[in-house]
Amino acid sequence: MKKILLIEDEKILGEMYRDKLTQAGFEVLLVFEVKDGLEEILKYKPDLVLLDILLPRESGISFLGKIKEIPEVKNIPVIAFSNYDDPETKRKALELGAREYLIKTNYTPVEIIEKIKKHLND
Amino acid sequence: MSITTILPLLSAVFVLYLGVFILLKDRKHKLNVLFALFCLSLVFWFFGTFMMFTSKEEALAIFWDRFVYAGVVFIPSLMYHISLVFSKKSASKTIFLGYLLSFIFLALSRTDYFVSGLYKYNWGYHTQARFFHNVFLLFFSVYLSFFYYNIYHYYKTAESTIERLQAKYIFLAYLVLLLGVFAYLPAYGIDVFPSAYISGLVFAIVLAYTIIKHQLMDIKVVLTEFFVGLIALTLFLDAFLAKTALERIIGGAIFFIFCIFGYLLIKSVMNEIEKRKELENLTYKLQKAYEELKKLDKAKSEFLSIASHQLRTPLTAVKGYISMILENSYGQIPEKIEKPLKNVSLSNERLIKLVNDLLSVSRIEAGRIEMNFQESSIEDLINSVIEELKIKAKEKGLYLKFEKPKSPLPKISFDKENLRQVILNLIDNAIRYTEEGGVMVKLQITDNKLQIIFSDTGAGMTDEELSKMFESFSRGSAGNRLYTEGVGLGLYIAKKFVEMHKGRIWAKSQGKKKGSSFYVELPVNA
Repeated sequence: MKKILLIEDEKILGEMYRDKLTQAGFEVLLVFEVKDGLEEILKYKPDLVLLDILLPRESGISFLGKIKEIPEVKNIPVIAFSNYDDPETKRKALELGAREYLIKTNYTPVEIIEKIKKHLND
Repeated sequence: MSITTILPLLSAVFVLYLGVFILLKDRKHKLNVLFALFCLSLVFWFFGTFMMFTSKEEALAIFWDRFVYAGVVFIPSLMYHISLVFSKKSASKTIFLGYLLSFIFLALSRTDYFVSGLYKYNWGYHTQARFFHNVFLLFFSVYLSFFYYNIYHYYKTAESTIERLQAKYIFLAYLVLLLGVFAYLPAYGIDVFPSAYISGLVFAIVLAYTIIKHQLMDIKVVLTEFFVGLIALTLFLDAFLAKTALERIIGGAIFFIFCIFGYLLIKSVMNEIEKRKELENLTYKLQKAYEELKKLDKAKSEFLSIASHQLRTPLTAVKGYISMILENSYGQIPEKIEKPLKNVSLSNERLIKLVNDLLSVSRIEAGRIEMNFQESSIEDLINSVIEELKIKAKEKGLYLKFEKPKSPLPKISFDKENLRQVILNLIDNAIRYTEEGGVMVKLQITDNKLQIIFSDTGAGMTDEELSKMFESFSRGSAGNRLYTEGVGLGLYIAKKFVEMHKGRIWAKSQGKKKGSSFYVELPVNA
């Protein structure tokens, strides 16, 4: 069973994506902050990270920057997904290794899963 | 009379003029008053020296030498006072003591306990120093040390580069003034020509310059005024001291004419300075306004991104949960609530599109759209959009076709995301305003330009509607009649994106109910 680390601070959205991903056959770890995300990624070595950008205390960009420096986890694919549609932030995320920067409202949970499967197969 | 003899006289006149000039600049400013008094003490020194050089009798030489000391005894206390004003310190007791000692030495210098008798040198006479002269030298050294300390303190605590520079100038002048001690040597039987008064002249000039800079007077204007004044004074003296009436009249006329031109020159320099200051001021204000504008623009952009993020979050939850319910993720749903849920989903999509469009329009108008040109296949892009909108067209009973070109087209450079938006908006628009028939998309190359043509069998447009089609919030009468969901931003955004590709967009229609065609033309090397 593939493991997805979901870093999302909005409780409603986090639960929604966790439910759908679980139904789709993934094992989902849901955390709300970058600090917890860094702990989990090192502990459980997920197959993919679904990363929100506007997070409390530290942003998703900071998470991307930090995992880039950790050899054991730097190659884990990360999909940045956010409703923060800022070109500068999007560019930074992609520069730091995010595979895609998705705007959440433009995708249903099923469509997000399609994206995840595509990147897991790559 | 040799130049070395007359030079002290000229220096005296110059320093007197300098002191009066600075005083007249601002009589209320303490520094200007002190400087004027300092210049007066120098006048005593220089004029007394001149008279001493030219004295033929010993008694006169002694008189003029004591005259010199009448000014010199005030130099240490005045310099110390000036240094206090510059360095913004206060030491009223020390100042009082300094002036008190100066007056005491003034009185003593009239007696033989200060100077008496004469040394005779080949250049002239000089009085002989006595006990109180030595005491005076001690007073002189102590107060000059205080001066040095204050200027050093001024330099160390200076807040700006200009103030530090001023302190350096004064310090340099002080070092030059120290050469003035050679002026005392002849009083002790050492044969040194008393040219050391030149150090006093240099010190006065440097101090005047520093005062002018300190009070932020424009040096160009001041120098112009000063030298015009000096030349005018020279011409006046020349006319005044002329031997004959004719020379006096001619001299007077030259002086008068020079005054007029001098005044005009000063005025023109002042105007030039004024204009330059105005320009500097305007440039500074413009720079500040530009920085403010940049900050506001950045703040506005950040606000937009944050606001759209906050608007989108609940919309995402609605979209996600509705889609999951419709997918039976939470169990089979009764048939009768399927349609209402789909309507909720559609309404939610409208809101999402509205937020997206408003954000796009704001970014376009702020010039914050970033283009990412990459070579790609335009046919693939059109195909993917058609796939997306096929269901929507089918639900309305419309056809949606893509007439591919007979031979494959070359890859062209375009911004995939933005051009996708253009194609999506145009096809979506065509579907909205068509009740029967359908939409055809065609590709062709004409004159090294790629044309995408979107034709529909829909409501059609009048010429007036065609002319306003691509303005923001414009929907045409069909938009109102058919109660369609958009607010009229889609075509405006499409136009802007096409223009960013250096392309053109326009529409044609035969009239009402006769369908429309929208043309997007892109250069092949976009």
